Amino acid sequence: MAPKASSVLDEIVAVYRLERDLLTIAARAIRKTAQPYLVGTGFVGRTVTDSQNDVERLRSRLDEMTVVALWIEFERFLVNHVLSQLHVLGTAPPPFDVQLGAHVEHQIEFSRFDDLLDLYKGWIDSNHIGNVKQIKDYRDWVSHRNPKRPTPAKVDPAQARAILGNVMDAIAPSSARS
Amino acid sequence: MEMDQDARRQQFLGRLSELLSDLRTWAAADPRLTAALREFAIDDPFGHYTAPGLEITITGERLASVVPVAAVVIGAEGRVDVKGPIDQAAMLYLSGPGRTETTIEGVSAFRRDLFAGFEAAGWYWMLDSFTPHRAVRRIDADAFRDIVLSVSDYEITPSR
Repeated sequence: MAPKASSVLDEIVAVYRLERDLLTIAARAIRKTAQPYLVGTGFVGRTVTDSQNDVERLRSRLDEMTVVALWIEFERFLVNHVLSQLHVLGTAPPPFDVQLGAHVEHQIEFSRFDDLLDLYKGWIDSNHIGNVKQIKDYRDWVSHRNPKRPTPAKVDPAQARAILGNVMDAIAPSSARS
Repeated sequence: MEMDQDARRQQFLGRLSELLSDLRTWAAADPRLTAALREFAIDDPFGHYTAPGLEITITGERLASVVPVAAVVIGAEGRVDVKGPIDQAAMLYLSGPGRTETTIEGVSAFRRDLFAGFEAAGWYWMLDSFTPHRAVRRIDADAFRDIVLSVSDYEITPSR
């Protein structure tokens, strides 16, 4: 059976879970001030509280960057899907057909992503498209932290994986990675 | 009529207050624990404001913090994190299973719920699963005990 389109997100998820586990191990070693495990690290000489706070900050940052990574994969998937739906005019003479295809491809590659998402209205329910746009807003905030823009709604990696993966599977139910 | 932002923020704060009351009751079952209210700053699409949370301690040592995160989160209607020295867990307020659907020429072609395990509107623990259906568990005394264990390695033990 062909893999689900959303399976490309699973490698990101696997790395995320491993990194979360490593942080849990570090947190336990810090809590117990387990010197054999902490020797040679920057935690030596620091208070338990400060070290725990650092681990907590790193955990939050890991969540944010994982959502960004999931978004990058999803964005590439959607652009490729739109491109794959192009049907070059069968009656167009060469080389016009190739040049037209290249022109449209270029326009799609540089379109505003919200405009590409709007192409799927009526196919994907509008609430779901709204959720995807909110994830994009969160990704933008993580990446740029623009103080002039309002604080977006937050999302954690598992939620992002579910929402983005559902769209990918709805659009291309049994396609391999495009 | 769609609620305005103030009303939605107040709705979140009301649901949060009920959750904290339950959590304090369940924590109080273990005589070694203290669950004190404290205020936390929130910065979400509804603005900057404060909301109550809990500091759970055992013999003066921090065991877990119950931290209100936001009234607006993607896919849910409020988020509260339980943060401990080992890990952290997320609780979301859900009003439904998050049904998503796609149609082709008006005919349903794909239907999936965001959340698996939804029973009724309330607070749910987001389990650490990355399946298309996000596994959730309704918050009750047992779930809260498991959350505290997962974030702190401490098992709440009610007195007999």
